[in-house]
Amino acid sequence: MFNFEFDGNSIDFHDGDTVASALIRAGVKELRRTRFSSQPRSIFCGIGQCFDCLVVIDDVPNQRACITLARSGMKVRHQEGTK
Amino acid sequence: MKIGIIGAGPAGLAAARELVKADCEIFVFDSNARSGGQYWRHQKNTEFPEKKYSDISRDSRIQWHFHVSVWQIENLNPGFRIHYSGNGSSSSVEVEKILIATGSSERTLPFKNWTLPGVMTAGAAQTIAKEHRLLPGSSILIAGSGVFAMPVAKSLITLAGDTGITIELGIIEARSLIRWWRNIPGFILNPSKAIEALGYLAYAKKKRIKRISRSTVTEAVLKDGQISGVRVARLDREMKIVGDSYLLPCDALATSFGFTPDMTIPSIMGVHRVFKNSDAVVEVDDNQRTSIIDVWAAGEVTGIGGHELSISEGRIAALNIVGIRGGVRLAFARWKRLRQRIFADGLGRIYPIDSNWITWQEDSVVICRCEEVVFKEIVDSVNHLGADSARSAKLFTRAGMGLCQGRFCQRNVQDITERCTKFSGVDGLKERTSVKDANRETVRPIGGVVTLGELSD
Repeated sequence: MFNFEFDGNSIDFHDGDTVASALIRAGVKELRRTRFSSQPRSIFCGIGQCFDCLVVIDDVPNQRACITLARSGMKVRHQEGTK
Repeated sequence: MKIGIIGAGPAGLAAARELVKADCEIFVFDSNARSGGQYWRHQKNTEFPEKKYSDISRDSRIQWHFHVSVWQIENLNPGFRIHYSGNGSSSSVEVEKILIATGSSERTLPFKNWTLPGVMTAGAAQTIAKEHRLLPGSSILIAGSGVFAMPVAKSLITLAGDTGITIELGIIEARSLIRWWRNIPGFILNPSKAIEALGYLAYAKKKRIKRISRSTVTEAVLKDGQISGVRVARLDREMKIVGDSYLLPCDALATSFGFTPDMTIPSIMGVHRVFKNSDAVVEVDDNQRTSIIDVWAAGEVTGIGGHELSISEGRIAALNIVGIRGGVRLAFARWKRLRQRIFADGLGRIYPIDSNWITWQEDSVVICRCEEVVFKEIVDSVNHLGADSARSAKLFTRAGMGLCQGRFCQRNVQDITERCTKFSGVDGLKERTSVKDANRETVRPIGGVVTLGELSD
């Protein structure tokens, strides 16, 4: 079992997990808020096509959580708007 | 001979396998981390899907480029230069011929609150179940139309069984099962498909999957910010709502209204496109040739038809690329393609998505998820600003300009503009007709998001 950080909390993940799958397993419902109406979003297409599951990973915004493999020690943050 | 294949799904792999036999040098590009496309994306721990493709996986004549985005293809006349980006830089490679095999994306229709967490595509539900052993909820509804709901339901129920979790599962389908008579010729020519369909019916009965026909979800209902149910409405044969809607409890919703061809690469290359079942598709001849010399297309970019038809088309394209003009192999491949097309066309007749879905919408429903453009803004762009196509509506409203490049809204915006222009006389405006041109609807300068940093290297 490995873990990464999401908004300061430790999230466990399995080998082969993406950032999104680890967060969903941990019960995280919301990955970001939208730019104009600040609506919550999570995964939608699950395969990297819809860009709805955007998170900030190691200070780089607009990373697709559903296709980014989870790595130990990465710092993931909830994203506000599209950067 | 150097050949570029865009897309490593069933069509692209089948073509690569055939081209290697003819000793071609092949460059395969795919945005996914491995081959297989949407159909074989869940074969975990195997680098290549199906045994017969593993023999080409280590062939030195093929260069595999995974996790890249092909963002431009220059026509050098003769030859092509393929520009692709990934891992923070952009590169290019020159080839003599190109096969476009970029497949399709899942089609979804909008409804109230469909953007909120807990609502996902049926493909996403299947992906998290098969790749990560995650269930989207414990009371799951799959809503939409088409044959994809059943395999997804099966994946979810199998995972629940394996992990000892009890789930409830229901399917809400816009069309009636009676419509299957429309594909009798398809079933006669493809008996294995008839067996598969009967197998699914038996499975649904055995597992007590609740099936609600001729109905649709019009709203995801929330309680404390979580999905607590959906509003369901009955539909008539033209997919118009009849009667009052009712509430059905659930804690997760997967939605899918079939698939729509991905026109990104065809659009940037400028190959001729036509409408087929209202979807823009690449026009090909009997040999899978497109309107541009030395460019072929195979698989669902030429029309939705499933993985078996895609394989046949990929093989025929490859045989034509290497100059095979006759013989038993080609004749057999063509016969196979014909009967698979008859089946695919039959499915298209069972599950057409009538543009009457726009009559279900409230003004505030989000159509473009990326740019948060609502239904009323698109209707207004037609009625007051003169938009006559998804393309012009995009320029007025930004629908389709976001990061997904219109993959999830372009097709729906096309339906809205088409329907609204038809009725624009009502507003006292001059009668106009929508642009019925697949080439104008899907025009596009570049194929994907590419950063200036990637270009500067």
